[in-house]
Amino acid sequence: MNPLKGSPMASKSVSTFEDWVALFNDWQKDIGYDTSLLGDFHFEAKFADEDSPVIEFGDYKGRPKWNSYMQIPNQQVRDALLNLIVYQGDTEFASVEQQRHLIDTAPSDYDKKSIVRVNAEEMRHGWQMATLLVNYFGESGKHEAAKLLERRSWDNQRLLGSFNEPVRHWLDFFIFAEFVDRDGKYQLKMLSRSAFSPLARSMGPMLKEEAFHLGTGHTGLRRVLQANKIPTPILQRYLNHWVPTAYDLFGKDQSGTANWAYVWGLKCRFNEFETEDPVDKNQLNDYNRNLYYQECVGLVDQLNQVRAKDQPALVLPSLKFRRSIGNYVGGKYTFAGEEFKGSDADYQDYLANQLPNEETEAFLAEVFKQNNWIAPKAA
Amino acid sequence: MAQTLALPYIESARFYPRVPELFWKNQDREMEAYNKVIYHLEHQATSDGVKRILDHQGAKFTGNLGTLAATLNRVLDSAEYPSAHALLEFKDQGIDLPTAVALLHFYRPAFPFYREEAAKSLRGMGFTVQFDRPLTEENVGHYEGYIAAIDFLKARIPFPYVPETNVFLSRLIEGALTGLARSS
Repeated sequence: MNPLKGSPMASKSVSTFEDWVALFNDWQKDIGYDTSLLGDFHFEAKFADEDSPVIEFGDYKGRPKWNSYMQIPNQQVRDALLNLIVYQGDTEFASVEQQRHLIDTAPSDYDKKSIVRVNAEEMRHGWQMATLLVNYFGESGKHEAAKLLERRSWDNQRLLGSFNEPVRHWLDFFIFAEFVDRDGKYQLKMLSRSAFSPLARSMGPMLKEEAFHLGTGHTGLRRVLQANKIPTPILQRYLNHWVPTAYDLFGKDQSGTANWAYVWGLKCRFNEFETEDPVDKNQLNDYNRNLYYQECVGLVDQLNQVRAKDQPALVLPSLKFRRSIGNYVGGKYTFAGEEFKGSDADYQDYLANQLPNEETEAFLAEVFKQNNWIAPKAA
Repeated sequence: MAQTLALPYIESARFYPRVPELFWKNQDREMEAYNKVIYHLEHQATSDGVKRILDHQGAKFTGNLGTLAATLNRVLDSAEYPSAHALLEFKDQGIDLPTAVALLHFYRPAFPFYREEAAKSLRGMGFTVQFDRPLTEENVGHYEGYIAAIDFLKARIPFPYVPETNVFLSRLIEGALTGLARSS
């Protein structure tokens, strides 16, 4: 199905990068992004210096990195690489689609500047991935670069679950930036030592920009807790909604795709060059997900330190809770990770009480009308 | 010539691993006062916003705040990073260049504060930068040189040394440079 059937974008194809840029401009208009907000932000592909001229892990370790499509050893590797770049690019444009409507409700002008900056940089990251697709992957790359701009988050067409969830308000945004964007940090770092040099060299500038996105999420949540207008049990429900989707972004526990990506030198472990742990290629996704989990435990601890003393502590949802892929799919667990004793119907009732619903949304809508739900409030 | 070009590469490489520590130390000193300004500004410059910034800077200003805010709005309309030429609009308004830059910075955070400490740190790394208070065309050029040096660092700092924070990279680097001067 062509989601753009009948629209001006549907008939356009990409021969050169300029063609893709025209599609990008159409996409901005189509999703209703006010480009005047971007000011003097300059869209460009940025490449860092290479960490190493030779492949640093996997079966090709020690051989020169690949700088062109033809240097990639075989079609399977090319296809896997193309797929990694497509998924990365898809998330970048999806997040802008999810967040674009929040600009008008920013709690302060600096928050507005921050979200515009985040959006601009996510667009630039998508631009970076499209640069690779158009310039290095021939016709299929050009086709995939166009498709990055054809799928829509609100039509559930984006490739990964988190990026089809609506980001309804600024609380969602801060949690998304803290936890879902943090998965992005992991993915980018794991690609930053890729055997495909243009991809590896793309990651440094993207990771530097991502640090601001993560900082915006963490600082935003701290400010929400400092203001103490949203009770932590309500906030917990939103963590319960978003964080499991971030766990899923790492992929299946035992993944053949991740195994091959490692073997071919495309994507390593998050801490590949800092750990002495022997690699278990059958558990790569789970290994990285656990590193992510440990980091998030620390972040939630930091957040708990600024909550009001009469508020219950926030808990990072368990890796078993509400999983859509992996070993825990279909299991009944509390958000704290304990097995739920009760019927399926009881479990549905439990979930209804642990997740956002119409009442929590209505409560937040009232809270957001006040000027003091986030610190520091306007004086 | 080769030596002067090489020095910033060598010295900045020593600086990058220290950025997180220097930045957070500087934040401990400055963050609260900074946040009290930046989160309280409206999209358009107002007398109140301008006063907050002047107070933050400890600047003595005896002129009309409304006029200064109107000038700032003209500057915001015309300033295109990294050109700082628009700051010349503030000439003859009774503020110096670092204060004019601060007015711009709080509304356009990509423009770093112009600070003597940060300039000193940059010179220590081999960058040819000057810090001058009077708001003249020549000194605005010096500020643009200072921006270029900070852009050099922004472009080259390896990602593991960029702390997760909600301040723009310009402020992060400038804060670390200021922290470096204060720690030496």
